Amino acid sequence: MIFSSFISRVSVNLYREEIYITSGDIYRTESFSIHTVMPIDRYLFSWNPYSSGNYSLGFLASDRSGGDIYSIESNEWISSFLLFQLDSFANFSMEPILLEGEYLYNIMRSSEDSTIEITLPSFWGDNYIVTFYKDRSGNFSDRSKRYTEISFRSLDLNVIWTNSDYKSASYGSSGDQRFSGVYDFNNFICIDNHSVIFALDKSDGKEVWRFAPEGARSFDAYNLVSDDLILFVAMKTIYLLNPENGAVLNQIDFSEKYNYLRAEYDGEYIYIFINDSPQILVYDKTCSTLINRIDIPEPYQFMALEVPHLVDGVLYASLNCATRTYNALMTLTKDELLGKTPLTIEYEARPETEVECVKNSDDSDHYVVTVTGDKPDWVFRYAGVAAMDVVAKYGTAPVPSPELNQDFNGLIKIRIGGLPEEDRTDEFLERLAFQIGKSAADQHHRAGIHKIRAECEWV
Amino acid sequence: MSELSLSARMTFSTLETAVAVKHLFRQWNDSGSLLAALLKEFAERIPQVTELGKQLDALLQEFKESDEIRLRNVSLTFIGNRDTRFYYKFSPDDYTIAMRFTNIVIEWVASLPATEQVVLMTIGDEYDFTVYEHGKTYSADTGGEPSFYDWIMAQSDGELPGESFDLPIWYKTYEKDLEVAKVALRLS
Repeated sequence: MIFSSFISRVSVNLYREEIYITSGDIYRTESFSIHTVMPIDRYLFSWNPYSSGNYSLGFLASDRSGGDIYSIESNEWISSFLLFQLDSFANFSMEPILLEGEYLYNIMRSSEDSTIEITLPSFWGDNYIVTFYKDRSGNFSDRSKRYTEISFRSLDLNVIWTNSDYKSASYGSSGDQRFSGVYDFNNFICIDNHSVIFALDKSDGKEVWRFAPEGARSFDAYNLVSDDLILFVAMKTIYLLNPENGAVLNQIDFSEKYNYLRAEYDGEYIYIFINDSPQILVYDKTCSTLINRIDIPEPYQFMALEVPHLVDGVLYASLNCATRTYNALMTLTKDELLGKTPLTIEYEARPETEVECVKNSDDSDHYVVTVTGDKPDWVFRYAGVAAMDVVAKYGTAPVPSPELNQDFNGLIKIRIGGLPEEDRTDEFLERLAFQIGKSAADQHHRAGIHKIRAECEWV
Repeated sequence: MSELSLSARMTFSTLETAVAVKHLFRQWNDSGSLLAALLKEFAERIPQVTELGKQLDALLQEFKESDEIRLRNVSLTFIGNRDTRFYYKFSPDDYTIAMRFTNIVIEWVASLPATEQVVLMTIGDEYDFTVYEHGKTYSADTGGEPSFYDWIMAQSDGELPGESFDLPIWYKTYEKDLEVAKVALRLS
């Protein structure tokens, strides 16, 4: 069990059996190297990989919000857009359009320029496309009565069938709706709608089966659909379903509703993640035998809305830390999960770090953080973590620190040493400074009247 | 009536006086020493501190039922400075004595030779401002013109509270005309 620290929210993203970590930047897990070429003054908001080998990168900048499209393979920039959200796969792109100055919807455009309006990301099967559209015109009362139209299309976008029988989970006053996933099976597609999962026949769109239990979760639901098993995660029950007919094979009942309840399945074992007394429960694939239980050490807990993933025998889970400004990525081997090897708790080594308080001529203070290390991505992350430690200790924080320094003027000078000359780029320094300021603002940290800001330099 | 919040912006011509006042306020919060001993400690850095001592003594005499502990429970919190502009928050334990105490302290700071301007902001049911400048005092409140205050707050640079302390000055300069102020300040 290894904990690696990051300065902002950690997200574990699974794409083509590879894990990408997003935390202000995008990291490949093998070396935690920074993957993205996102412009310096932008802060990663969301990252959505699509089957075309492209990903859309949402960003927040000082003057606008929007996103970029990049290639996962080459990391090359493809295009940019304003506002959210734009998807892309293969020859189709979805362009954001503002409707009535308020609601965003997308136009799906093929290479031949035929156009379909969509309101949710589409799903691309081997020889078909599933698109979603909800008419959002009119007032809220009108909108909320309409159901999303599911269209099953050939690859040339011709409609084979449509189905508008499912009122999907709605959020907020806009009446926005989501179907969180579409899954391909031989004769049907399975659609996850948070509180209900249903299967539609590929030939005519008729319902094959549906599962909608009492006490289902709503917006934070994450149901796992795999080839041989569906794990439907409700408030206090996890149901094991047969994907072929939706029948309940077994279920795990908990004595209370959990604020955080997630499940992962690797074909052999079922892993359940709980946040009240943070722990992992490991069951056999039938959920008849509890094989192991692992307590997550304090002060860490699973990050709300995030889902741990198990890939190549390693579990990756994003955690937040109750007493620190930073977040963490936890990695666990499968042998540790199963209790086959003793569980050891390790914390990723940190670069050598010194912190000094410097008095200015106006009697205010700033801090100098010196970080020395030989790997740029490692130094980058931990320089940020060290800076946020200063912010939490001496700045104005949501939870006041006993060591609050009222003379702190918000400036943190970060001096980076130890990196080879070829890694010393201006972009490195500028991105680090930008992310520290953004992370402090996101976590409501200030220094009296001052925003937290960083100036970075090489030593 | 909602709870009162008192804060002030003090602008000085020299950092020496600004920092000395800050240290005096800090000692006020942190020190357990008696009022007289505290003021004596600062007599060299701020000669006018003896005048503050006299006024606070008079206040204690007036509030017969009060003792120095109640007075000392009013805290003066430094929340930051930009150059010679220093920002403070007053946290009263007892509003009656706090208001009198705050007025004495503010007027004393305003009377210092190195003080250019003091703006006191009182937030209760509405925003009230008192400006001390060059020996003169004037007031403004947002009772009838909340849009003026809202607009100033919207100009915030994300650090200072929209420089709301400028509201009474702009209010006076532009004769409460928000549209004139918008044009003038955006052009400046």
